[in-house]
Amino acid sequence: MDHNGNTELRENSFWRKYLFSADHKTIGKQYLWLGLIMALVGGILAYFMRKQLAWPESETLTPNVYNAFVTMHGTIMVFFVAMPILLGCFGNFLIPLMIGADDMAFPRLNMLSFWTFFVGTLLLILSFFVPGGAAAAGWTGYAPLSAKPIYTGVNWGLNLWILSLALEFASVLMGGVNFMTTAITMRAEGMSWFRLPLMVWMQLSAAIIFMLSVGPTIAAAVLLLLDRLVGTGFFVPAQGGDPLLWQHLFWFFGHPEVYVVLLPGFGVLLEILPAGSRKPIFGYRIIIYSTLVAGVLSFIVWAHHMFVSGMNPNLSMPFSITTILISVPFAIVIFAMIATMWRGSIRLTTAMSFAIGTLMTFLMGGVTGIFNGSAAVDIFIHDTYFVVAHFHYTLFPATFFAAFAGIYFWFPKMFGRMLNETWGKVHFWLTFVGFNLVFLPMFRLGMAGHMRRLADPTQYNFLSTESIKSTQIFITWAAIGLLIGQAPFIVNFLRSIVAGEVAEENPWQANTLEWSTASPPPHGNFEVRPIVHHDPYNYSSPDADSDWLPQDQSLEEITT
Amino acid sequence: MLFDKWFPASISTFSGDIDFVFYLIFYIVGFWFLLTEGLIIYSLIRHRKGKAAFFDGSGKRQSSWILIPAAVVLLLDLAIDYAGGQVYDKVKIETPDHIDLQVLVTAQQYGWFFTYPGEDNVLGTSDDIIFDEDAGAVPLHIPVGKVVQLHLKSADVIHSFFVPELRLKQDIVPGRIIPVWFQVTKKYLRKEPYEIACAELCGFGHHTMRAFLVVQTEEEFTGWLKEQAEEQW
Ligand SMILES: [Cu+2]
Ligand SMILES: [Cu+2]
Repeated sequence: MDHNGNTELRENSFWRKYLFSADHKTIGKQYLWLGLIMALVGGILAYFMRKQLAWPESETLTPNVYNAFVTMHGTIMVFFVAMPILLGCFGNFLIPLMIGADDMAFPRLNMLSFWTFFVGTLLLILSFFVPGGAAAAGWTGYAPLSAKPIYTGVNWGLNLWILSLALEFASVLMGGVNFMTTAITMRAEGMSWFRLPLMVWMQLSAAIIFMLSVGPTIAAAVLLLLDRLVGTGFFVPAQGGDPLLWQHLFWFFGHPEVYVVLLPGFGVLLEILPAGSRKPIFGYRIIIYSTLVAGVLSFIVWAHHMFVSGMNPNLSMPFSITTILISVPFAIVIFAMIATMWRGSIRLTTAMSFAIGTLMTFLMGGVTGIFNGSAAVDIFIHDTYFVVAHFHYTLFPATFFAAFAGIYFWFPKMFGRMLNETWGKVHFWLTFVGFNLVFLPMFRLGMAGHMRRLADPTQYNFLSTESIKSTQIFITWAAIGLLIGQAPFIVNFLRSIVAGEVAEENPWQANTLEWSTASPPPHGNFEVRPIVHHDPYNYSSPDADSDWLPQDQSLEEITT
Repeated sequence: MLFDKWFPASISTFSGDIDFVFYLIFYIVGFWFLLTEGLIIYSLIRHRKGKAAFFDGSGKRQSSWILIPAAVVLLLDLAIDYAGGQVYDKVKIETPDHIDLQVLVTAQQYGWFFTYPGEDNVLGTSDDIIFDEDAGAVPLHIPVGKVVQLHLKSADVIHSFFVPELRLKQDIVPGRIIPVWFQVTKKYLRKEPYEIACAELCGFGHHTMRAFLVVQTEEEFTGWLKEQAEEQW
């Protein structure tokens, strides 16, 4: 494909180069900055919530503010941290490089996508400061609580919340079109579908799942906004509306969205595990087929969020069955990851530590999903801390462990310098231990029936026991530790951009195409367009002299 | 059992069934969890030095290493579905033929109000005993050992009726009346009341939306109800 039409965008003025750039690498990095800054915002919200929960008598947050923080923490972490880092950054930065292309198929659409996202983020931040405060109806925005300002006391905060999500969805849709077109039309010579790095497969699957599922939720968001602004009453029973309609439309997207975040996280692991184990990926095609099966199944599990919602209870078992069955394709992918490490020659870099940490923590999230997925057990644990613990064990590994793994791994390619490994290890251990100390005890709270989203649990006698209270305090200290544990990363990240050790082309001796060009790659990515000769995971092949074999290097080239 | 210290007391005819499914899942997934984590840690310790083996999981023999365990996962999944399905049916789908007491429960920001049928034992008739806002926070009284059906109704937003000891939770959707049933087993008759919680975020007072559940003997209960009827009429 030819990109002559875009040459005027490639001029080297400061604005064009660093701010309004159409270069996929710059856009990827912009998404990274945005995601990391929003992660800090989301983390600070979590800190105040934890302080309130451990010491309700301190009245750190009023109930209104607590509810707003609960809502915004979830919204920010899912839509403004996980999405920009895992899709926005890794997708944009890696897809063209990994397929041997010079940029995305539509660079200017890509730029528009980022700036749409950016405006959405600003609106979300702005919503904290409007009268009435930020949205306080939960990140799921259940109607009619969300449908009328009188129910929460929040007016423009919630309208802005809807608008910012709408902009975010629009941005990701543009990105998705770009991901797909790029991967379909711009692969280098020899890059057949089954030679694509799994990261590209995962990004593509995520983009397709997003595009196919988000429609109903956009419609629902428009209806909700009309309910709030014009009083239409689509979700208000007194006006003939139906609150459960919102839940169906929201979760039809809301569940697949989990995989939109998870799959790119898996993609990171599927690149790092083979490179870090010096072994081919185990079951390349099986992983792809399993992902496709999981992707299809993800469209028929949404009502597992609604076992006690008041929908026709006869619907529960079919959804319970599909939900529990989705464990099969994911089990296959996890088994394949373990088999990839098995009998390898593991190099425990920081990136590899975070990758294995993702695997070890995600396993807990995966297996506890079976409890929630069982309609019977859900009657008890629904809307308790058991659910909070479960989804943090699925989303935190993807959003943070996998993202950190990816950042430590691709940082040299992005910035041309290495992150400090020693501080990386310190960061890993603080994060790994801190995370488990925060979220493991939450299962215990949930098993006691502890409801979520309570500004002051001690209003209940059964949540005022010494054991429950001390658990809450323990969790808060652990959360403070987890937050402080990010300091080494922030310092390391900022310092390494300017003063890190200069990175070579291929510091991890990995095979995929992004490692066959300079760090960072020049405009257009490759001096000479690469030609692909192998699948991407040819590590320790008996045919090669070294224990890696770049995709663009033919065996003849090496032996002659 | 393992989690007796953590679980709330189990006081309904189906609370034990729900706990049973929990334990069933716990032991099945616990096995897989320990196995997979064990393999990862083993690999981390043992597979560090020397040259890596070269195999990529293609071919029938190698792919069976992960597909056979996955097939076992599938079978266990179906067992979990089967056990869970039985219990979900019992709690949410099959209502007992004979219902001893019906109570109308009205949830509104941020309180619970209960309406009892009067002597005719039918709700919605003129002899209903109504506790509304004026009556204050009157607990839900129910007789032990009897099948109780609640009709859940909301005046504003979605709330959720939750009594941890009953293992019963049901969202209350405005615009509908949703029935639930339970039967408190005899041996858990106790004097201090259980707590009824709201489990669905319903506004800034959500965390205060609590009521009490008082379990009485049949005689105590009928006596209490009579007293209330006399007071109201
Ligand atoms: Cu879901
Ligand atoms: Cu509530």
